Formats: sequence, structure tokens, C-alpha cells
Amino acid sequence: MTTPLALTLAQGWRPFIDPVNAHSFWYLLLVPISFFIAVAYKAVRVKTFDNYWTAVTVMTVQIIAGMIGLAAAFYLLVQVYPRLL
Amino acid sequence: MTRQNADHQPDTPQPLAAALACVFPGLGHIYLRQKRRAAMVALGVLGLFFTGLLTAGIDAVDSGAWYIARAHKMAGKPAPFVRTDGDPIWFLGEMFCGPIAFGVDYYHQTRLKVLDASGTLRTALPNEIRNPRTGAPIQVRDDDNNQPLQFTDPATGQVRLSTPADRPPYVKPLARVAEIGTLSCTLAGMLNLIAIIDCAFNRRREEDEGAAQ
Repeated sequence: MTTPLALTLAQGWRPFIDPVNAHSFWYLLLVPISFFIAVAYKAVRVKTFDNYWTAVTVMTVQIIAGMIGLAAAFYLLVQVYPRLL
Repeated sequence: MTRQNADHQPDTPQPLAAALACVFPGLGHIYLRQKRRAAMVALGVLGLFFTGLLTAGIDAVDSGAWYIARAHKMAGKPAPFVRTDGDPIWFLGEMFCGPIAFGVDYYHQTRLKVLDASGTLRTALPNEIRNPRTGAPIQVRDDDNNQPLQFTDPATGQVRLSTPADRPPYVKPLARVAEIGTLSCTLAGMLNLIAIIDCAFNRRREEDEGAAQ
């Protein structure tokens, strides 16, 4: 059965108006978000722009690694720890 | 005090630069002659804001039209709606992106949302279209079986059967996509707030040396 939502999206995606169908890979959106956060934050933090893109890359990787670490820690807390009790 | 003198003093308050940073991301740093910093601030803030819009659609920026209701109240007019949906808490962060956020939100509230018979300003349902003249929702498909219904086309004034081209002004995002889009736009506003504070208490940096020469 065709749902109203599927019927609407079948008419074509309108960029910046309709949401993107990223439900199966939403976690990959962390990469551009981390990158742009690092670009803006390092822009006001660095004294010179000599190693700016290196600093941006390092911060982007730190954010992504931190989020993966948090996800792993919460997985252990929610899924593994209760079984040990 | 001239601007050149102000540039040579560390931590000089720069209210005009802060105000310009509120108008557009990076504009405050351009005023402070830090063009590269301005470009990077603009890239980061606008990149985040439009990533959010691209992800969740225009529903990522939804103030609930509180400032529109307030403007009507200040003008002595009744509010154009009784109730509204929206995310005013998230908009408190997004609004630091400046007029871009307010412009996107104003377009969302006044051109895309529908005002139903109960006075609620809301997102159109999947089987509704929006009357562009009145903003009222028009049911074009049956809710139970999605079969096309006859309706009066607001563009032509003629009664006709709806087609798949008759669709709501926008689709409301769901789940993670909605969360990430709204979060991205809010982070953009928060980062521009950092840039505004950076402009307001400008610290002379080595980049300025090159710009001053």
C-alpha cells in the first residue's frame, strides 16, 4: 500500500525543504557536522593560519573518535553491564 | 579613538564588530580586518546551518512563530493564530546565526505552514495542500485509503480530482534525521555566538600584522 509520505517523496525531493532520506546512514552525518564545527571553532581559536587545516583535521578526528568512544561506553553500560549483574 | 589605534590594543571591546557578527557570520571579523578568519567562520557556521537544512529540510528551523505573535501584539493587533507547533527552545540557539535563521524561519511560518480552522498554525498533513492565498489546509486525499478527493483548486477556482502533484508544502522529518538536522542548525548558532564574543572582545592576533602592512 502506498503511504501518503511515500506518495509525497515520489514526487521528488525538494532540497532544503524536504528531509533527506538518510534513515539508513544517519550516523555518517556526524562527519560533515564535526568538520564544520572544527572549521568554525578553530577559526576563532588559532593565532595564525599556518597549521590551520591540520588543526581542523585533528579536531574533526577527535570529535568522531570521542563520539564512537561514547557510543561504545553506553553500549557496554546498557547492553553488557546488566547481564553481569 | 580611531580604528587603527583600537587594533593595536589587546582585548579592546568592539561592540560594532560584535553587532556585525550578529548580522552575518564572519562580518565582524571582516570589520576587524581578519579576512581569512572571517571566511573560515562563515564557512563553518553556514556549512553547519545548511547541512542541517539539507538533512532535515526547512522543519529544522521552526521557532513556533513566537516573534510574529509578539510583533502583532506590539502593533496592537490580535495574533494571527491561537496555537502553534514548533521548536522554540532549539530556535533560541539557531537565532544566533542572525537574519538568515530568522529569514528561513519566517518563510517557513508564513509560506509553508497551514492555519487550520481551529486557529492552529501547523505543518500540513501528508494528505493536505496549502491554499496560498489564505494559508488554510485543503484535504486532497482520503486519510483512510489515500484515494484522490475532489477539491476546489485555489489557483484556478475549479473543482477537480487531486493528482499526485498535489502535495503538502514540505514533509516533516522524523527520528534521527530530524534530530541531527535541528542539532546541526543549533550548533551553527552556538558557534556564531562564540564568533560574536570573539569579535566583541577582540584580541590582536598575528594575522592582523599581515593585514595592517
